[in-house]
Amino acid sequence: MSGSVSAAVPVSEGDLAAVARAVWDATLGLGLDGIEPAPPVPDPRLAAVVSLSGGFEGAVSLELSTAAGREIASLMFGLGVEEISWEDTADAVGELANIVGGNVKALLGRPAALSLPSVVALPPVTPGPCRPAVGRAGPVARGVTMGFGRNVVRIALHASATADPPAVTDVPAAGREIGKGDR
Amino acid sequence: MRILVVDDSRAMRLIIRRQLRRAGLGEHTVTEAADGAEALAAVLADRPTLVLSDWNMPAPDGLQLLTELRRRGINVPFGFITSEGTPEMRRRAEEAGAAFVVAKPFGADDLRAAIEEVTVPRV
Repeated sequence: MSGSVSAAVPVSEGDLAAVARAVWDATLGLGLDGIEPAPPVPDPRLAAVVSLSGGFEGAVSLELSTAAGREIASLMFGLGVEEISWEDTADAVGELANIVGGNVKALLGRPAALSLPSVVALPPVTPGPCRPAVGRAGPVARGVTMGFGRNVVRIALHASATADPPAVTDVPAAGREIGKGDR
Repeated sequence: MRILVVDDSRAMRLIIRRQLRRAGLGEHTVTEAADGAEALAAVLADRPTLVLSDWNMPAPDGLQLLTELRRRGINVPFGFITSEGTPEMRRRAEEAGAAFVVAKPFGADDLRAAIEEVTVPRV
C-alpha cells in the first residue's frame, strides 16, 4: 500500500474493528475478537461489498465463509441453518456490509455516496503463482480479521488508487478478483 | 399505532420487528414494504400512523419516498432507520420532513426513544 494513499485514509484498523464489533453485537448479539496472526477465510467463501463514491472512492468489504454467512442469516431470520437459502445468506450478509459500510463512511469525514450491497460467491483459493490481492473493489487500505465462535470474517476498507498503482504482494493472495463465482 | 416498516432487506425488516417488540411496542400493528414504491402504495392504501424506513434502497430510496409523501400532502410521522447516520444525512432527512434518524446498528432503547419523541404527547 503506497504511503500517499494510506495517509489519505483517516480510518484505522482499530476503527474497522470497533465498527464491526458494534454491528455484530447489536445486530447478531455476538462478540467479535481480533485474531493475530490473521488466518485465511476458509473456502467456500463469499464477499459482501458496498462501494463508496464521491469524496472517497473505494469500498468496504466483508469476506467470510459461506457457512459463516449461513449462520449469520440463521440468526437474523430466526431459522435453522438448514432452512437458509443463498438468497437469505446474501440478504443477511449484505445488510451487515451495508451497516458496516455506512459507519465506516461516517468516519471518513467527507461526503460520499454508499452503494447498495453486492454479495458474491468467491472462487476457491488455488495454490500457485502469487497474485495481486486486488479486486475490483480496489486495493485494501485497511483490513482486519476477526473471529466469532469458530468463524472468521475479514473486514476491509478499499481505496481506489489515486496516484499510485496497488502494491503486488509476494505471498499467495487470499482470493482472486472479487466477482461472481459458483454458488 | 399502525407501523409501516420499509427496508429492502427482509432480514432487517425482521430485526426491526424484533426490536419493536423488545421496545415494548409489540402490541402495535406492523406491516412491511420491501421498497419505496411498495411503501408509497401501502401508505396510500393503509394510512399507517408511523413509517420506519431505510434510506439506502433501490429507487425510489427512502428520501425519495419521504419527499413524495410530503409532496402529496401526506404528513405521516416518518423516521429513518439507516446506516446513513452522518450529520449531513441527518440534515437532509430533517429538511425533507423526517422526525428522526435512528442509525444502524441500533438497540431497542434507541428505537423506543425515537418513536416516543414523535408519538408521546408532551405536557
